[in-house]
Amino acid sequence: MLTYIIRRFLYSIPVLIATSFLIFTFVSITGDPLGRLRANPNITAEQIHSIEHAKNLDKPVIIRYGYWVRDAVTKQFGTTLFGNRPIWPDLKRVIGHTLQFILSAIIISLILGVAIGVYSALRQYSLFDYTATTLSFIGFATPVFWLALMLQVLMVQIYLKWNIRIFYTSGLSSSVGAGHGFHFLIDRIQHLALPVIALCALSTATYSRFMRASMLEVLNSDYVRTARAKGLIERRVIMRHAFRNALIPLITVVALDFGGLFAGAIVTETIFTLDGMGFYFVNSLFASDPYPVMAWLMVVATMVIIFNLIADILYGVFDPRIRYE
Amino acid sequence: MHRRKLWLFAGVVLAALALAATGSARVSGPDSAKSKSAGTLVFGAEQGGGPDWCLNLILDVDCNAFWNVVFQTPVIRGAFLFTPNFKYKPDLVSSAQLQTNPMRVTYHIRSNAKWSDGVAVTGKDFKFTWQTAINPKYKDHIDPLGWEDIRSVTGNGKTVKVVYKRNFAAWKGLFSYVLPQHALSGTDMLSVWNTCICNPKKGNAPIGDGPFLLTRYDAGSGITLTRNPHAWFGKRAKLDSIVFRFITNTNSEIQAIRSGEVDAIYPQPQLALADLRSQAGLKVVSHVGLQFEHIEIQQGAKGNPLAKQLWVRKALTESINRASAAKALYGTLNPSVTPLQSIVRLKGEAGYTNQFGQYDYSPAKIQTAMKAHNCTKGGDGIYTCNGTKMAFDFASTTGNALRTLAFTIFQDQASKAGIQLRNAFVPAGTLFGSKLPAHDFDLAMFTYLVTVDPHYNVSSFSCGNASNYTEYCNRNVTKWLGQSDRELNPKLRTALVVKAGKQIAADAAVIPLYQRPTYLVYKTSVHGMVDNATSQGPSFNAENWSKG
Repeated sequence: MLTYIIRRFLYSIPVLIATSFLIFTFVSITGDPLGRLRANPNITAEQIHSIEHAKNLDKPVIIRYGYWVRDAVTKQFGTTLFGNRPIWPDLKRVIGHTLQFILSAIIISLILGVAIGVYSALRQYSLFDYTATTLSFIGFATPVFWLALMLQVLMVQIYLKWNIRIFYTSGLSSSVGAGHGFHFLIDRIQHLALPVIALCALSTATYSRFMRASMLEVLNSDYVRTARAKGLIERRVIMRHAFRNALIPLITVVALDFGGLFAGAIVTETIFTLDGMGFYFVNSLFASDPYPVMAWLMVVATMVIIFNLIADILYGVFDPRIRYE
Repeated sequence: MHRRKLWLFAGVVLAALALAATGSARVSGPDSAKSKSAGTLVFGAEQGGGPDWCLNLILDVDCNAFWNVVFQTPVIRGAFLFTPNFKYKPDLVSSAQLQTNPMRVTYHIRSNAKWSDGVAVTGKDFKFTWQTAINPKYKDHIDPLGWEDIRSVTGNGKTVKVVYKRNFAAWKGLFSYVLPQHALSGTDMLSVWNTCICNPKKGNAPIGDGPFLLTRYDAGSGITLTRNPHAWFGKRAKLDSIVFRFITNTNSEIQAIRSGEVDAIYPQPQLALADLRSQAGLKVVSHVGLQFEHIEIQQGAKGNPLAKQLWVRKALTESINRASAAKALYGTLNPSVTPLQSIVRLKGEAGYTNQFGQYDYSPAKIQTAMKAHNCTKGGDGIYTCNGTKMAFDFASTTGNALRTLAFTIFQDQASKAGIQLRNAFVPAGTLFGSKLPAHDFDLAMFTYLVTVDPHYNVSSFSCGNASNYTEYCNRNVTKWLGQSDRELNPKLRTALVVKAGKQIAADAAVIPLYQRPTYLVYKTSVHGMVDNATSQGPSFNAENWSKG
């Protein structure tokens, strides 16, 4: 197992290097970090040339990539192109926010998805099953941005009609009065609720369908039939033999999802102005500043690789038929 | 056992959600905190907190953004302020006398102007600000315009004398913020004031000479200004604090004010703003501002060769109905938006005259001109002149719904006049990064955000200037604009700029479209707010804001 993990890590190094170079090249070629200066008629062309030179923007991409690698390794991703702002503290902050957001969404989706999936499988072709199937297809088909906007509109209407604020429509915490301890927790929940609901719609639909299919497969397997033939009570058959085995494929899906979502749910974070990874990425891209984009990419790529590995390892742990050589 | 744990966990999650719902019932102000701080106003800010954000306004290349001015005007004062009627007003100084031959300005700093730590604002601060601006170390971070023309700054007390090497007509724009010498001398300006307006020598304690101090910067979330506990030279601020909350998504910003999460917003023009006018409890104020949309016509080698001819440029200008476009784009939001008739002076500014009214939409006039130049109409209704089709690539920025709509309108209007406009929209980075600097376009539509001072015209219209993207060149225009930059008499200066503007209009070098309106939306419970459509922004009188 250890050899396998080490081998996977070693494989990932060239992947990271190639990815970083490609993205750096694309960002450098397509964007112009000095665009906003060029649109300012008071800043002369000579000044812009001077800035280009000072910030190495007039050098070939490969040289600039070299500077970036040096800064990434020795200076924690260095600073932004303008304003000399250290990148790592900002990135640490948004990672924390995104973790709160996606962990909440994944946990809630998992609980709902598993419960709905299992019950649908046990009551196959029942009214509940048909309803859950229909709702999950609606969940699949609903664009996240639309749902997010509708949730905002709903909260606004509730506020306008009854003067009650259940959840906030943007941001992560109240500008004033967020408080500490319990008050802070409540305030944070009120801010995260809408984005979490928006994200949960798709995830719950996915997990419930997965769980239902997996459960049905297990319920029709030989060992479950054997367990029943041996006279075990139905609850024990389902909970101990069927449910636990049906969870295995879902665990890997969730692990992969977590790695992917770590990049930030870009649309959701942008609509709700959540100061998370996705929002950070969008802002960096709009600023055409390759350095924060690259830092973001390296963190995300590393997380995706790690969670892919975790998914593989978990599969081996839960399924005794899998062995890593 | 496991099942019990599962139910317990689900119960905890549901309880938390229920608490969230009940914990907020019945609120009537932003963030339900009114009982704690009745004097706090929450303002939605469209910019701020991004990865490349910095507060240090003196580094105008790095940190100069409109919202930075809004955040800091209540904290760091300058010699003059832009007023809502597009004029300079003495602020930190009680008066300033201009003398000529050589040019020199004597500033009289207000006798009661002092920093929040009790130190008086003096000539030392003016001198330090100038020395910082011309420090070679910061040459790539500070725009040297005007600062380089200063020979000396003298006077350590309340009277400061600034002597110039040569005339600099836009002198009122200098010292728009004055730095505290006692707090910042000897520090590296590239590293201070990036996340605070503070005294690095006193443990980064907030510092300022305005009605508020910047007491908190939450990266990614917002900025908090707290009332300056010490007297400043103006009226004591009515509010305890102002929180600028970063809401960079305009739709979210609109929802935030509708749901009472913020007290005021100052968004970019959006069609969704029309809904706010009808909402009880909200007030929407709109004025035309100092951003103007225009179309540049390329006359250089990379443009359509037909555009080198004056009659073609005139035909292009007459082929679009600017009045109908303005109505279609802004009619519901601000009916007062009408075509801009001058490219060198804007509506509301001294010297604004109708110079482009001669080019009103006229397909009939274009047809006459085409016939007079032996142009032939093709089967598609588009003219061809001397073997070149009257077809122009129309560049602008992608992702802007109002610009896309404007292009659609112009395309339709021009085609009726026998001129084809082809969509050549590109991302903003491509337009400003490569297309415009390389003069690689036929027509380009974009916005200029300018200041009250007309200096910007020099770079836009002088022969050979790299910022003159159209390659338009008229020696007289270059001469007049150059003279205007050194003319200290405001009336004579305006006359020179207007003269240049008339010639630019006669040469049909560019097509001015319309000034973009500003929108200040605030709750009716907020008092004292005034829309300042200049680059100063709405916080210029933050001390007068109040709630209740």
